[in-house]
Amino acid sequence: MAKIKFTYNTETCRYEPVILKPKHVMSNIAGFLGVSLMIALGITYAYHSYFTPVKETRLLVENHDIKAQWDLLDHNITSLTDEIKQLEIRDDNIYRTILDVEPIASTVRQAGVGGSDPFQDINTSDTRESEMVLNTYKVLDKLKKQMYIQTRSYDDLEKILDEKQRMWNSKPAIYPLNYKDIRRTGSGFGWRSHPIFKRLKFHSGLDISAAHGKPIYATGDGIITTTRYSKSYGNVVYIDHDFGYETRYAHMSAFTVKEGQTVKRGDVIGYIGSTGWSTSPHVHYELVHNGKHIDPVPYLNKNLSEEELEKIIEASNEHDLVMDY
Amino acid sequence: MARLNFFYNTDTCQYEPIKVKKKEVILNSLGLLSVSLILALIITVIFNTYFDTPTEALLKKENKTLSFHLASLAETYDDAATMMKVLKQRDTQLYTEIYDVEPNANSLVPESPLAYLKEDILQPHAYKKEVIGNFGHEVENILLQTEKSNSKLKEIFDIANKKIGDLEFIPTIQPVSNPDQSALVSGFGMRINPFHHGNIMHEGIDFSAPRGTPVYATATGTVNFIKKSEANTGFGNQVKIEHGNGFETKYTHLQEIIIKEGQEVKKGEIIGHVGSTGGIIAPAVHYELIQNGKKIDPVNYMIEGLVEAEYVKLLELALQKNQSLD
Repeated sequence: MAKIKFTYNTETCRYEPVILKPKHVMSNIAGFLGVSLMIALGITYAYHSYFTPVKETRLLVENHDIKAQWDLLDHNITSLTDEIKQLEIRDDNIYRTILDVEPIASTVRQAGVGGSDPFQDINTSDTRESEMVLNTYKVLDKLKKQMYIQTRSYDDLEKILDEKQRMWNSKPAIYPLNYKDIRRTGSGFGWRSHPIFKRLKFHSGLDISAAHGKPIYATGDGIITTTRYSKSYGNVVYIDHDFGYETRYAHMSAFTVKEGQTVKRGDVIGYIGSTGWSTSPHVHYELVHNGKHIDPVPYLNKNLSEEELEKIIEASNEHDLVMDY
Repeated sequence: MARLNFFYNTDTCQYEPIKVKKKEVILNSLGLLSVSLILALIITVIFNTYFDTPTEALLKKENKTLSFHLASLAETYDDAATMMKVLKQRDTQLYTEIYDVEPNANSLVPESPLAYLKEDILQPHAYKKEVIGNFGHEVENILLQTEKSNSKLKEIFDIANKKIGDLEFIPTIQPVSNPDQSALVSGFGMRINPFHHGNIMHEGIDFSAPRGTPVYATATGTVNFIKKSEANTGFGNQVKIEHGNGFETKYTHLQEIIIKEGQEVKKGEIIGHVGSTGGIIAPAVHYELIQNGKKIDPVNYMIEGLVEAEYVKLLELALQKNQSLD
């Protein structure tokens, strides 16, 4: 049992037991708590002043993470910018040179930089990094515009290339016969003595002799415009190669093509014969450029080897099969 | 003065003052402190849950804003990256269709080693200066040695120059300006013809350049042949120059020729301009080197003005088994 406390009452000159009144108890507790609270506040204040609170640290770490991710994004954007720059250089220096078109002006490439600020609506007032944020928006926007221009450029270049390839494929560029079938390359282009009329006549083509029935090939891609029989030319085929070129193949024994049909270089269009004003089986090959007869010899590509010529003919056969089925 | 408390000592039968012991004081204080600590903890927790310090508030807002923009930008970036993949594919496709070979994956455009030199060595950044500063002493030593070797080399070169004779008469430069080597589009040897796609001997080098680009004589000599042709086949407008020592060079498909037959030309002099006359698919010069009547690969002589890496690049381009332009 707790010891009873006494107090010396100076008025009564007696020791009197101390009676704990609830009021005293309450005020004691309140005092104790008050002091505790003061100390607690002191501790809290000191803690906040000398240490970074956990919550703030957590936020700082998060902030740091976001900025690191931002740096990574900036880095990735920079590498895309480098890549598009390389593509632009190649576009201007290689493709546009080869395809003979003007390079895209750098002012166009830098599309829409300057002028009114499209980024003024972006709210960055909540961050101390508004410059960083706006800069990334601007760089990315410029990149997207550059890519868009590059896309358009490829669209253009592909169209141009397609047309050029059509031109390259259409140009008469091979012998109308297989080398092994050729017996003799006879009368050339120019003034020649005519075998039947025995007088000087302008020979508008090249005569190539071969055995009766050997195949005759289209020398470039084109459309068959005429297949007919004429007194002088016999069975003759005209091919329109577009781009100003036309070829004619005369004295055939038979055609294998119809008017309006599309042919590829190396397609068989008929067979060697001696129809019309002809003394022996041969093909009379004419080349017309912009309405004028020109010498076909420079267009024959004589340096093309036999195997290579056969490859061209074979490739055209494969194409035919695909077209037929 | 505080009232004294007494207790009744049953042993002595007297009232004795209660002495406050040190241990009790300490215990009491510790109690007070621990209650204070618990209170401090509670205060902190409550405060953290319901209130933010100004720094925290700022950070919170900033994190939220940055995260928002980061997410939106990352999405745009992803789109851009996808688009870039498509662009690269289209680039490869175009290159393949034009040249009949895949582009070198490592370098989209041949990089000029000289550009590297300019950026990284000639204009050192601050930190590089520091590094260079540390090596200053060693650099000085090396410079001294270099100077010594330089004078030795100069002697050797003087002797060599006398023996070789004048490089002026040997076609060691390229017929068009070609700073990053990319103008060389097709080399010497069997190449695919662009018209009929047959594999045929290509007896020169094609340098692609915009129409009107100057074409230079690759060595000093006399113009011994000029031919102009309107035909859309063959070499078109062509020039041949005789350089002595059995060397001749031929420049074809020119747009215009600004020299005359029999005229003397110096190495590097403009003889005409790039065009696409004759049978060629693009504005370019088809350049041939003839030694004693035989056509040889001109790239073997094109060493002037190139550092090793540049020459290697040129050689790589010349050796590609691609499509020629004529």
